[in-house]
Amino acid sequence: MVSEEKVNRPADNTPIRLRFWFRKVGRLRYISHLELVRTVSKAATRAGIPCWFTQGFNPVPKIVFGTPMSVGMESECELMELRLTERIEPADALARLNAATPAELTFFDAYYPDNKLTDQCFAEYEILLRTERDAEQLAKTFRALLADPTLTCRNLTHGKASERVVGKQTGDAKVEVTGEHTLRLTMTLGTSQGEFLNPDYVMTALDQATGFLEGSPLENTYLIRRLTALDKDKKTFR
Amino acid sequence: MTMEQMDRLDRLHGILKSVSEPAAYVGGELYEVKKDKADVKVRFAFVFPEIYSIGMSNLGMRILYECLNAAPDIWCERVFAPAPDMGEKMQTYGIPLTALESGDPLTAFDIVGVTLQYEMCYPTALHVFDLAGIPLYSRDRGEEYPIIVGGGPCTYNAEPVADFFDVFSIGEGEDALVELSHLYRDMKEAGNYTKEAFLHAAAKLPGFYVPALYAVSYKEDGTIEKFTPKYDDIPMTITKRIIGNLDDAPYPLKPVIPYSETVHDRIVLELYRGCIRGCRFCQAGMVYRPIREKSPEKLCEQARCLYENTGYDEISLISLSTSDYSKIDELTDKLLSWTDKENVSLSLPSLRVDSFTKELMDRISGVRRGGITFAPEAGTQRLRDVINKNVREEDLLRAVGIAYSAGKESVKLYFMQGLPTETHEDLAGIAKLASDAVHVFYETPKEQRGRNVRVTVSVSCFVPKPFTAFQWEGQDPLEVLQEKQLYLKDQITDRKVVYHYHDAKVSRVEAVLARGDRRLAPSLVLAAREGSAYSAWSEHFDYDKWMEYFARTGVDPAFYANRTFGLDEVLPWDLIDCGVTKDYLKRERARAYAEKTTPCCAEHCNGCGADRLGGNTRWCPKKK
Repeated sequence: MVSEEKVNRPADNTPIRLRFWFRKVGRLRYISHLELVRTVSKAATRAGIPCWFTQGFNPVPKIVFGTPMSVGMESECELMELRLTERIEPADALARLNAATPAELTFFDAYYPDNKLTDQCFAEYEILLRTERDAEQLAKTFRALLADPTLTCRNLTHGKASERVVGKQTGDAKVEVTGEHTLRLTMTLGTSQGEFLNPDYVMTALDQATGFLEGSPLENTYLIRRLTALDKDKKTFR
Repeated sequence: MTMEQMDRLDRLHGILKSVSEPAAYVGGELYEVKKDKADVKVRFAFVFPEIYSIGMSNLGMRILYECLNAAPDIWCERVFAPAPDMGEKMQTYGIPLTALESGDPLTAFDIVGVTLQYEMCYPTALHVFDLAGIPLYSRDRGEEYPIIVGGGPCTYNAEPVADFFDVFSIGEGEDALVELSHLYRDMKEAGNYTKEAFLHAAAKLPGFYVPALYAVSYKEDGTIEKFTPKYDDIPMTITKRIIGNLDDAPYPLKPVIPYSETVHDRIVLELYRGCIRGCRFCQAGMVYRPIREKSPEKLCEQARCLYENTGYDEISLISLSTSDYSKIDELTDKLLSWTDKENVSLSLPSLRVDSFTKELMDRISGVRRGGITFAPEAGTQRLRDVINKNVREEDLLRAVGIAYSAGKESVKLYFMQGLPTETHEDLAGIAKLASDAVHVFYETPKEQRGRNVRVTVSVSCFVPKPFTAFQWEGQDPLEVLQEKQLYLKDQITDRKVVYHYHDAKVSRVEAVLARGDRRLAPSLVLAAREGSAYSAWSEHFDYDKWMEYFARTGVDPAFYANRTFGLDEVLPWDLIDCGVTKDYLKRERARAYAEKTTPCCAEHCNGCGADRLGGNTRWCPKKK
């Protein structure tokens, strides 16, 4: 059932990958990874981008995303690659994709990359936090905990007890007091296979050690945001 | 941290991280309509009292969202009921229900429209009011609250919820809701707006029913004595509104496209409204009359446009009985001229066995391999004649055979049990018919058919509905319905037949609400507030609790569900004129008991009365 043009590979058989960067902020942070894949896949066809389709029973455009984030986190630096059947002008693809996606989902850069998505090894995060407690005091406690290489997050999965040592990656984390009851944390965590660390685990570890969320009027009083993608030398990944 | 960043950690977002499917609560989808509050005069919140993934699939809501937003001075936004986990957190943390587009609470709106799609959503609708901080009873809402307008199929007998609504829109809402909004705007601008004056004026517009303006009195035996209008200048009966020419009516060509997967994730084309058949149990077949078809040209143009705007790869052709569309061949030919090339498939969900052909089957058997569904409704010819289904056994077996020859391995058959005059012989007939449908598979040449066969028999319980020939009939008592379900289970011995049946307890509560009156209101408040808000979901339905709500509020469920209403009795829905007349329904009832069928409108005009409403009535031969 797959039509001819949709299974057409480029002549030399090397995949044409067009890399896109987008921001995932505001309401978009509640869109799950799967929902995003679904939306972009529909948008790409609607936008008339010459996508290469997977060759299974149910052909879909081939899309690869960078390290996904948990629902609820924001990012300034999300990336994905569309596989194409022919080279097109990146600026044109960018404009067409933006026109076919919801206003808040904005792609801001597109180009043919000379490296691989897996060359991204780290990401820098900031966490904006509001607390009922004294910010100075809490910052001091956090600094000590983050410097401890044995800092551990427990019970990661529902119903199944498990542990993850997060302290090994939080040595360089910074804690800034930004107001009487507000803090800003920054940290660089692994994104590559095996090294991936979800920043939410770090926050859970801090909560388990201090109970800082206890007594807060809502369940979630911090916002995690991914700021920059970094390569293996912690230089900006592009 | 800047103030702006702090604000984003607002209250709603403080709980979204820990609920399932948070995307359902934030909006921001492709084609959502945003307007500047300063530019609009009427803010309209359209409430679908179900969760997002169900509500977003509803065509009626998409159409009305389109119509209202087409008016520059009206901004219509969407509101859905939160899933139970979210609803609980909203109540715990005191977070009010908001509209998706602006994020404003419902109390900030001028008009709140609630669509009532089926009876079991009544408590969900009241739960939505509670979550929004809106008093449930109309009489308790002062000028500071929005006007609450109800619409949808349940408004043909909305008496059980009449005390909660300020006004009901009866019939098709495309023009009506815009008119109501503009009445509101004009009165506000003229400075003569009060809730009372507005509702009085609304009651004079065609198709609007303001329940508080009609007093109900009851006889000693509990039946209704009469409805008394409070003003001389409001109509004694409210005639439903229809759209005369569907080709000219607005149709959503840029429907809001959810990020998440919804129940019906595809392009929906509405072929026509109304139904030429006259099934005597079917409310939709009566209340959507007269028949009005869209032209194949218009449908093709809309399909192409929808495909380009949405990127969906399936087009569903919907209506009450799709294969009855008079130009179905022309339409499918036109569509297939481009859909195949684009990998787009066609689906026709409502097929009748007598108008189902090999040609039609070939057109729809694209890449998708799912099963096919038919609805014989009853197991014997006698009972099918009683309900006027006008389907013969040989038609069904022929249709099933066509499906098998096209490689279908799974056939689903819908039946109803508890129909008037039903006997055990009729039930046994269901088992036999299913078995015969299995045999057809083995008679189909091996090289044409698939490898294995499964016939699923799905049986629901008859619920007497207003504006049907069976509106007066009592439902079988619960024990009888349950005994019949078990009897049928024993009768089905074929191992290729799978038997499903609906919970008879749900059908009984449905029957109470379907034929209920205003005295049910207090029991619905209990349902909404004491754990039955999501009764439309089988896992949240608790029959014993419902019986308790009825008992505590002095309601005898049998009075509404199981009693045979008198032919001369004042019915709770007598205030409403849906087009089809009571005389016609009485004639149909008499023919049912005489086991006589009535020909469909395409063959003969039976004088149902719906042609009075106008529209394109070319199916009514005598009215041409």
